[in-house]
Amino acid sequence: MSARPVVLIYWLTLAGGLALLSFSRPEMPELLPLWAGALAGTALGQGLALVRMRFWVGALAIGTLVIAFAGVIATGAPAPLSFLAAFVPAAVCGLASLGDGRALVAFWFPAVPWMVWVLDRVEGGDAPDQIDVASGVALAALALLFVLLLRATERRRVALWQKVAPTPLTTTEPPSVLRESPARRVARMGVSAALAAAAAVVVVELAPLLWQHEQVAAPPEAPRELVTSQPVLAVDRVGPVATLPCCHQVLVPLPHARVREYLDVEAAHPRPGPTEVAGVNCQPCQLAAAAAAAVPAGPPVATAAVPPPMPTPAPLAPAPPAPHEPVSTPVPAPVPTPPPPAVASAPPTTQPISAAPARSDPAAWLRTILAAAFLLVLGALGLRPLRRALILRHLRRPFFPETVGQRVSNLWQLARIGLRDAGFRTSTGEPPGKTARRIPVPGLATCATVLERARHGLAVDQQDLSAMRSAAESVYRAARSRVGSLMRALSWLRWPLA
Amino acid sequence: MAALPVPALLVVWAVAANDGPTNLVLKTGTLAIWPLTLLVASALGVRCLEARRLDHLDLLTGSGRALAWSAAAVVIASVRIGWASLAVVGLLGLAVVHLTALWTCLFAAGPEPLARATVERCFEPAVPVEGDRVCERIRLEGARIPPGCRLFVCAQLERGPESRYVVEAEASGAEVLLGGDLGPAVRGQLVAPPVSLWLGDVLGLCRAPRIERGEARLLVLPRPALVESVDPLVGRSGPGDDSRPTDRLPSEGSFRLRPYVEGEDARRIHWLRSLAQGRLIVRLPDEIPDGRARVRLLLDCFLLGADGLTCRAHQELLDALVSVWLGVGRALAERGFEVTVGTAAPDLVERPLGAQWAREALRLGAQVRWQDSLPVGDLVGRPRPGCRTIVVSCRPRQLDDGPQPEWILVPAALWTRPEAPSARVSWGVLPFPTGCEENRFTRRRRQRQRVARAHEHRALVEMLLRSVARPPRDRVLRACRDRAGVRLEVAR
Repeated sequence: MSARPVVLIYWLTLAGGLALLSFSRPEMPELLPLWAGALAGTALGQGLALVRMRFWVGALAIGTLVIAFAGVIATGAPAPLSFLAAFVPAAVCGLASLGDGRALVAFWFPAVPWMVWVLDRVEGGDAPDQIDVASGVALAALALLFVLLLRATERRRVALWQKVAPTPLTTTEPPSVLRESPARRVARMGVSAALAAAAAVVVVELAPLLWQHEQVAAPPEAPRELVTSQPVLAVDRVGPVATLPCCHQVLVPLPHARVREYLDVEAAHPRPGPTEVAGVNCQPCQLAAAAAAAVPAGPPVATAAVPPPMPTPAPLAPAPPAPHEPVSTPVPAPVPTPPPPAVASAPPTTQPISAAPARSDPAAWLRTILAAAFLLVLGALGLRPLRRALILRHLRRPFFPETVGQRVSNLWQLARIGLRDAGFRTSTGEPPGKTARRIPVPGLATCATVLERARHGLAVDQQDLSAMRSAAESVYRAARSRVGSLMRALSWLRWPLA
Repeated sequence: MAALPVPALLVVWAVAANDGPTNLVLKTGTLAIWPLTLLVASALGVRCLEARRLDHLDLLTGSGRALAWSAAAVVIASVRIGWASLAVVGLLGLAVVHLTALWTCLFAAGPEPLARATVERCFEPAVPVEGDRVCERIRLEGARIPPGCRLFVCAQLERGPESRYVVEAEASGAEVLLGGDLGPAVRGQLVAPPVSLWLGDVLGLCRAPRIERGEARLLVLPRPALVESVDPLVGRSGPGDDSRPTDRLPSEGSFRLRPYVEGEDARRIHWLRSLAQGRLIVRLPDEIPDGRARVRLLLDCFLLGADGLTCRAHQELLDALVSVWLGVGRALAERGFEVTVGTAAPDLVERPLGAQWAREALRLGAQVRWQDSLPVGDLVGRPRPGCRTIVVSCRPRQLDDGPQPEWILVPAALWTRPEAPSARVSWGVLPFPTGCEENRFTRRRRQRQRVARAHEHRALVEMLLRSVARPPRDRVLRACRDRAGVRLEVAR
């Protein structure tokens, strides 16, 4: 009946999304208000839900808080609107997260930071409806978290169904499984993973098709500086013409496209878009140099200081022409030009292009974590047969001297392990005699008799011990012979053993 | 039934109606959901044809319906607003609902999983006495629970609490023992209707049709009330008034012996005789009783229209009547009266209330139900010479003809509790924890109607109990609930 798993998964989703956002945009000014608003709103919403507040009353209380906050803003107090933009939906979704049948609505806000991170990786690209591997992994993780949230919500609902009703209910005990099918546990674990994977595939394949693009204004700061600000006059055959600066040296901030999202925060990697179009706003560097050399007089121009083309950071996706601004100007054919003049190697008079701050790649982190987790699981699974082999060896022949009573107990454990391999559940609280009567495996009655004698302090000699050993071994083998070879092999991966 | 295809249709319609620049892409993307819906619909149709029942179409639970509709709304909102997160969350919801429905339809909705399930139901102790704690034991075997599903088991005992169990898929095909504490037993020959079993998925979105197995019965013996004193009853005509001569004297010293009956004082066991005969023998008191007056103690359980009542007052009242009836009988027997208890079950049944007949009388008490076939006048019948007739009733009345019996009144006001009040309705706070399905409006309305009906029936019972002509007060004793048991006092 505890709401802890639901709350835990919900907060894991929210914190995971916000952490991804923080890693990818450490310099974003709205980061702190976003965190504060999301956490405070979620805590408030879930707190209201836990005190059984009705949804509309909780929404009313949140609205009152928002009005109060707006009043604070009206007085001129410094209060970022991004806090409010995160607080309101976080509170409403937090309130809905513990409700009945509102899991999808509740899951929307924790999904928003994930989506902002995913959209960072696709916006401005050539085909925004195709996402890369890291984004696919993030969407799959989102789908898995959604399935886990649904599962935790349902588990809580079932617990409430068993305990809460307007009519009297029985105080039930947990079901005790007397005999089970050994393969069922493996199948059960696979179903949730398969469902999440299938849902993730549907989302990854279909969701980008529903995304809508919008035009946003150019970022206030260009990532590269404009080296030359004046067009270079060159003398052509027909006369002097205004030449264009060298490509790779110009950056004209232009509007670009992005996928629309609730949180209207600036992109982490603003792409300049089709700003460097040869023949439109720049020309090949060789032409520019030639034009600069042909200038007869005039004020010194910055082309003298044109550095060689600098390697620019590779864009995450090829920079295509913007769909809203198709460029049809034919690119002039490159003219064979003499090698760049020596001035090109002169030290630049302008400041060098500022390098972008080094930032960690969350996708790489994600891949590393997933790989580490996979290796960890693989290692744990690989160690299980070894651990089982060691334990079985100790139960049969102890590694160190033990009392006769302890050895009898060890052999009973050996029999229990064999029974569990065959699907027979035994509990430590069940009397051995009762277990032997319940489970028709030859030799188990002998084991139970010797064990009960040992437990009651009666003398157990070496003859009893040898009888117990042979009986336990026969029980182990007889029980395991009831299942197929696949189940016998899978039992080496089971834990706990009995 | 409509919650599966209609949301998907709405989504397709909303996307098709959108005339944005990416309309073609949107259409293509959303139409991809449609095959999944068709697949689910086909599987559902096949299941319905197999079972020849339409209720197999009702696959989604309340949570599943809510998820399907909200997913459709969210996708439509994403088409209108354009936020990418809405598209992702909405499609995630639709995909999860459809995939879960498909899985449930293919693996859980048919008759195969529970076809070989056997349910054995029993109670511990097998024959409890009223007030004893009773435990329920359900042994379930052969139920195949598909992976990703749970088995829900719901059991109910007449006049008892409801038991709700959940069995996970790891117990598929296993032998599972379910148990629960039913609490104090209430008197009666109780019917435990068949156990309901159904499969639901682990996300709570879909469920399979219910099946019912394992009917049972439970006999709960009444617990006779401890009557403080029958002086008010026998003071007017006690055993001494019509004593019978005896041919033995106290000094003759011969013991009257008979086999031991469960519940007797162990100090009366004659150990030598017991050893000689190989069974327990008790000696009866060697004092000579001064007389054995006969008392016919009848229970009036006539009430018209009791079958349809949903309140608990009439059941509590009948339990109290039986308890007082047997308690007074036992007290009279201990005082030396030769008591015969009788009631309508549904015809007149009479049992002597001696030590060896106590169990039979208790069984008779357990079978007593309200009946409308034998009025109290027919129950009393013709007068029997040398026999007093006392009727335990909740509404003493003046009989039309014949001698008037003595009455022991069990007032409903003293022996019944008020009906359970409606759940406190607060405008701001939910009656149950958040997330509990009992908070749903339909369930709360149903519960309110149930409580209102119970209160109406309670008022009806009180009206029925009042509308009779009362006998003279000197012939009526009143059974009052006391700390130690029951006290008989003269009605005022």
